[in-house]
Amino acid sequence: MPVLGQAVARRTDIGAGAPVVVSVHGVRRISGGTVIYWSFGSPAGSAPADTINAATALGHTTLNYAAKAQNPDVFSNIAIIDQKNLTVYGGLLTPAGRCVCSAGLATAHMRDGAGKAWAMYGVVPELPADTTVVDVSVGDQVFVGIPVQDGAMTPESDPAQPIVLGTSWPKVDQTALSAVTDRAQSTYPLIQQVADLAGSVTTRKRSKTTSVDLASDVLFDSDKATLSTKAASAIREGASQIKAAGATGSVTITGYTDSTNTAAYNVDLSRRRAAAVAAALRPLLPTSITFTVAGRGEADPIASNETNDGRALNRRVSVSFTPGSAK
Amino acid sequence: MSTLLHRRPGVAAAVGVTVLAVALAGCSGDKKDDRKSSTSSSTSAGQGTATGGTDQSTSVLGNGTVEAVGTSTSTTYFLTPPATTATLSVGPVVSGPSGTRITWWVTVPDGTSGRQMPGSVRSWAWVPAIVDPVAKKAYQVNLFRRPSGDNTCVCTGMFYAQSQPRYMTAEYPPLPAGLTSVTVQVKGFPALKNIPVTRTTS
Repeated sequence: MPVLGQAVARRTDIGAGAPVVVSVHGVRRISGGTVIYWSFGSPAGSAPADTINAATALGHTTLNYAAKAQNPDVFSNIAIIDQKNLTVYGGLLTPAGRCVCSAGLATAHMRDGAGKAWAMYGVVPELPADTTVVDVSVGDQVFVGIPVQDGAMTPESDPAQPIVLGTSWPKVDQTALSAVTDRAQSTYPLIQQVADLAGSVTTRKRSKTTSVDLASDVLFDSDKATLSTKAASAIREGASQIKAAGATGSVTITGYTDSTNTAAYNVDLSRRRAAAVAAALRPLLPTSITFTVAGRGEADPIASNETNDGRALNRRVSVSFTPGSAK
Repeated sequence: MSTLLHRRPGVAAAVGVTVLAVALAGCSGDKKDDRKSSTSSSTSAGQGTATGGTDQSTSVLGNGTVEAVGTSTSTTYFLTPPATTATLSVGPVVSGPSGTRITWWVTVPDGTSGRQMPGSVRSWAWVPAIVDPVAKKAYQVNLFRRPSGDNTCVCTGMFYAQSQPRYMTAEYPPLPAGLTSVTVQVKGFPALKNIPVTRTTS
């Protein structure tokens, strides 16, 4: 029995009750997609049966990886994360909004209570040919270092009925898989982010671009666009990161705000802040690098504007570029 | 009952990967026992396991707990009264070429009512940061852009802190190959230093 990764979940509504062990058993390439084989179940004797709530333990309110933010059921909340290619592959959906995955309710699988693990599957888009190891998310948990192999796991059986782990593997619904027409809707860009210890400069990598984001709270006083006395070290660190990240051609310096105040005010403030940062960066970067300055106000938030911490993260001046591409 | 995350050499040999798993062979806490393979295995391309159709639930489910490798406490973690002591626990930090995972949880004392964790379900500002003390870099949780346009962390959603641990995981970039320990920072708690890094082989 291959167990390539494990995590332990627990119901979210009261945060108590039986633990739910989530295991990843395989990531397999098949025609038309990539299958994640996984299982879940509560250990025997771990808690009274009436405290088992696998449905909330495995996903609860999350619409996390479902295409178009649909969530046909809790078992569709699956993904493969390919950090090498900075891409997330979420569950495939048919035009009718059905996942290509084990269907049914978690309660049906847990009808016998604790002590049984149930074999599950879900299909995400095809991976690049050179991707050999990935991270996986199932059951609202993350697993790293999962090897990618070829072919469905066997022996197979119809997943219309719950499958006890070890007896067989769920057979992929080929009818549903062949009905999928839009694989792009299940593919999302991944963002890696590494900051300095003060959190004033954060480098964010995406598949095609990199940005060096400077925290506006370090650079400016509230509602101001004149660099503060604290800004100099952050600007120097930002310039160092921009060069280290391989900016060689043109860079775009974009100001952003949180969502407080009016949109017009925010756009104006963000544009003036971007211009101030551009002026400070100019002598610190090679003259071969050209600048484009923009202000986008509250657009493109990096975090939620519903919390103080999220708003602070959204107040930033972002220097973005394509690494190594001279224009 | 003890808790373990451990390697299973037999399986690793079969699939070419170091396996990290919650205790798979009962609740003895004996690492030697935990190394028992749950069954014979064969995972060559195109095949699954040679299970012989037998139920493997018990050996795979283990005891359903995770061992903490670091803890800290705070009376200011929760943003609203009443003041309650919160305990942050961090499980293994596992890193390899594909990425890095942390397991973490926040609990309140026995007999204390559950508390809503700060931030929204996936307000990534409240998810741990992994600090490389050598390079002085803070790895923040990976994000992805949902179809709605929101940036969401690759992490377990945060809900309530209770007296029983609700384990959460989060994903980060691969850590530098030679890094053996890290500092874990969670907003509202003192930093946890010298958290060992466990390496995957794939």
